[in-house]
Amino acid sequence: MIAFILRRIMQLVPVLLGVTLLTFLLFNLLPGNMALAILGPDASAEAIAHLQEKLGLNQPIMLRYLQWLGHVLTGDFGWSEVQAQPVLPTILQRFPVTLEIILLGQLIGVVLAVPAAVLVALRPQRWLDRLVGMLAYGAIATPRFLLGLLLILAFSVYLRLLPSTGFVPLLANVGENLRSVTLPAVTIGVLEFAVYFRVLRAEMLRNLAEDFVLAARAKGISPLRAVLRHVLRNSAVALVTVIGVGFGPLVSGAVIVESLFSLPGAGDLLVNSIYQRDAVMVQGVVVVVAATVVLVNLLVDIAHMWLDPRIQLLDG
Amino acid sequence: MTARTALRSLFRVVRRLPAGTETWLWAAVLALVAAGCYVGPFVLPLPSPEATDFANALAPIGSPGHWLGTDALGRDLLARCLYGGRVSLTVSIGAVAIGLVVGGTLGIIAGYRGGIVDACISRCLDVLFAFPGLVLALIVASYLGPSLRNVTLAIGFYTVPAYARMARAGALRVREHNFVRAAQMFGGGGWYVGARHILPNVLFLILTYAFVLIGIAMVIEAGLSFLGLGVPPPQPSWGQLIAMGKQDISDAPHIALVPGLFLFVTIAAFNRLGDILQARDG
Repeated sequence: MIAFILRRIMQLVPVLLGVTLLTFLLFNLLPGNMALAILGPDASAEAIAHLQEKLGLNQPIMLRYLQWLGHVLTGDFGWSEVQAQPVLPTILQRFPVTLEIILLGQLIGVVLAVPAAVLVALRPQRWLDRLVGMLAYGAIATPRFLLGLLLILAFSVYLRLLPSTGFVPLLANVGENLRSVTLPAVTIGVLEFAVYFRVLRAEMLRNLAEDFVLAARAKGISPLRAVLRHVLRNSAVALVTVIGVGFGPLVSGAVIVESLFSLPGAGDLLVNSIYQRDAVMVQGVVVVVAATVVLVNLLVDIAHMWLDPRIQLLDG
Repeated sequence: MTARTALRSLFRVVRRLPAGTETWLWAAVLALVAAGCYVGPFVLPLPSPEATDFANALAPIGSPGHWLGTDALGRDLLARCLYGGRVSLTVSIGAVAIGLVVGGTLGIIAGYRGGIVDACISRCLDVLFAFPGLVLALIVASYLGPSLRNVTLAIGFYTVPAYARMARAGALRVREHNFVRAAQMFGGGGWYVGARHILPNVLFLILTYAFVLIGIAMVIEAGLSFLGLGVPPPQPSWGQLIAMGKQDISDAPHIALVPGLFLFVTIAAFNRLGDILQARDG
């Protein structure tokens, strides 16, 4: 088990290195002068030269990458000239907001998808199956910001139930915090529901045809119990995979959702840093996001082994 | 020859669509949207998408002269949506075409050659895959500066790894076939066998995914526009129109909802056709 986890971590190191290198190269090879972008078009040549010196832009690119990597490995993510703040504390302050809406969104997705898939698996190809299938289809074809706008229109403008902007920190006031993240989390959750439902439904219908379900039914277990005890458990592996794989793309989704609802999350920080050519900050966010995604993938692997002990034999 | 191969593959893909009512329905929707966007502005009696008409600002749906209403500056929403659709369709189809050509080539080379070449290409693709897609497009679009060409490039960059993986898997499967072995035995070089035997078979496989990927590319394009990094105004795009409608969402929600509906229907049509094609494969 430990060896397996260690090996997985070792496999992920090159990917992390590649992601950071790619960000670094993107920022440095694409046209545009970073110092000029930060200082604005009116800056004097002297000021630009000074800032370039300060940002280390005059050194060879690989040397700068290695230096930066060395600092990151010792926990020093650098200092953002644009924000006039250290990088890591700024990210750590923003990241929980992103994490909160993503995790809440995924939770909403699971809470909706599991009962829906169970109901549908009991009576496939009936009206409920078709209805939920169509809803899921519609949800997948709706870009997140469009869905978010519809939710704002319904719950903030017409019903006046929930705020459309603003954020209250979790530690300041739990109730207000939940109110402020409800719409963003639902915006994320609806699409997640659609994806989870489609995967879970297909997987459950496949498992329903297996012999172990027939055996359980032959013993006299009711259809509902057979679905809950045998089919759902066996289909959970697929669901866990989708949830884990979906985490990375959800960071992209969070960027849009945070922008729409004006939430002070890491996605918002990222977009603003990209606008302002704040390379150190963008690199910091990308590292933290990539590391989190890698960690989530590891957790998914461990959850797999827990849900389905056969996997350990294959990998082990 | 390659152009003919491409056309032939495209024809094979289209021919495989089952001739059910649903297929025709979605195909008709797509044809209608495409015709409306590319031809409509020349045929319909529409005002220019940038012509302001302050007397009729924020007109609701069904107003005389402005069928789908106007925005805060009195610009005709139907005209803006049709012109905006051009940008959205051109960018997403162009981006997927880039992904298909670049990713497809890389994938075929990796899958057919195998060994160290495959290892190098595959690791690079892993890195691109681990990168949050929108972030990549954001950085590229922000640095190259927003324009039709650069937004297409940025989103195309994002679709490359998806296509490369598919093409690689396809090439791995095809290269074991006897006709490939026969071509090799007759002395066919790598490029010849790749272009003459692998490409037509893989192209057919990956073209069926184009519909789904165009749907995804449309979502990303709209997202970039929404964040202000898409094709810049005054040239409208659906995502940009929705973003602008956000300001007036409480007084005149139709400004955001009309382009939203265009976007939704088009993405749904691409997705559905893509799913119908893939269901045939499975």
